[in-house]
Amino acid sequence: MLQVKSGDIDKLGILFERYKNSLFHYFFRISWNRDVSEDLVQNVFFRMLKYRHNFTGEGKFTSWMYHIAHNVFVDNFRKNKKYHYEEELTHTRSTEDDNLEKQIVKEEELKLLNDSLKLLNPEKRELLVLSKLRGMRYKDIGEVLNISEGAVKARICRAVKELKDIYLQLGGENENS
Amino acid sequence: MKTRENLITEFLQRDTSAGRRKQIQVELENIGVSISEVEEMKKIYDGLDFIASRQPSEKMTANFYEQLENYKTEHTKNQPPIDRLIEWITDVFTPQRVLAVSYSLILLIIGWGVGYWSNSSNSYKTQITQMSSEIREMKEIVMLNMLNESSPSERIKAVKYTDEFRKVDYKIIDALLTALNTDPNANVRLVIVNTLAKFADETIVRYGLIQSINKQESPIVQLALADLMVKLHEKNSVTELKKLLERRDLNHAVRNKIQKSIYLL
Repeated sequence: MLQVKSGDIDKLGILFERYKNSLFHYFFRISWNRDVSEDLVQNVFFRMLKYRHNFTGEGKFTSWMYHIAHNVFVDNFRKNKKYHYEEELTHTRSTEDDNLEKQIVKEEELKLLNDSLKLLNPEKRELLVLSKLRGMRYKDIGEVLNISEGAVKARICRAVKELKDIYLQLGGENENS
Repeated sequence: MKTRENLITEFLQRDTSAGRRKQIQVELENIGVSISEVEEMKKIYDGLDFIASRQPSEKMTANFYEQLENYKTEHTKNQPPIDRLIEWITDVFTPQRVLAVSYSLILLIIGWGVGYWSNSSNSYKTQITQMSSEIREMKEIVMLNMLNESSPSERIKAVKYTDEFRKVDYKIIDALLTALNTDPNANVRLVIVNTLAKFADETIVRYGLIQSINKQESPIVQLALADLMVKLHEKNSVTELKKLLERRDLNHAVRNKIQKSIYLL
């Protein structure tokens, strides 16, 4: 990124190749819409180009990048208010780790979890995506969202609790129907 | 003292040790938190590991490189000419290309020398025209070299350089049509389709594009060509489009698009 900052614009292509998929999954798991996610990935890279002079190289590059991604998401969400979710995903992530394999919930439970996640407020969903699906440390999430580490922990706790309540409620409704 | 929420979040983390988790359980019970509820939260939180996602389309990458080239073109428009020249030189004159460019420069200097010696009475204007045409030839050589680079982004850059050529250059057109049928990267081929569309008034370009329809394997390039044929009202493409429909492995979305395109044509 420092090379991009010094005027070597083509180096943005290397960053794009390295981070396009992670950024796409970040946006997709918040918006559940492929077209929206692809547009937002583009926006992140062109915002990085626009604000390249603000990059100091002192902190982690990924924290700076996700900070921009967060702002792109917030602006987009303010504009659209609601995302049009695509049809159900039929595939699940696989793992070859035996211990994890045992923990894989049944497909129906996973679908229920997917549905529950969609009912969660996108801002809370973003927090879970960063902490769980992107595997970020609380300190780094704090930098991305401009909040303290303690606030990150508290918000994650509330988001998981709400997700659990939605999950149980949806599960109950399915059983009754 | 840690808050209840911080304790629960620590409990949820995979890297929290079993011993520490037991301690947290005790602390939570002491402040009246239901452990079974926290266990349920953990199950939900762990389940997030298996949430599925889609893959981005090839179009995203192609769009990015196109936008990047547009950004650079826009950006250089606002720069002083000398800065633009320096940027172009540092951008294009990579060590691999120095040899090819040196050869062109020698020819250029010889050309100048011979021109100056044989016709010293030429007007300044004629000399400038001659110089522009030689520079253009040099750019053409560089661009054709870049089309053989191993990196797709370099090849896309080469394709985008053709935007600077206002007049039709048959050498370039030929190189682009060859690359359209042979380049292994679908994004490069997609950018070529968009570039060739600008020269679609030329019969050779239209013919080349039509002939390329059945040489494409990538759905995104097939779609781009079908779109272009409709835009150009190119009825001669119907036979090739029908041939494409005969393929059993044709992508479902492409099949629909081709059928619509044939109908529109």
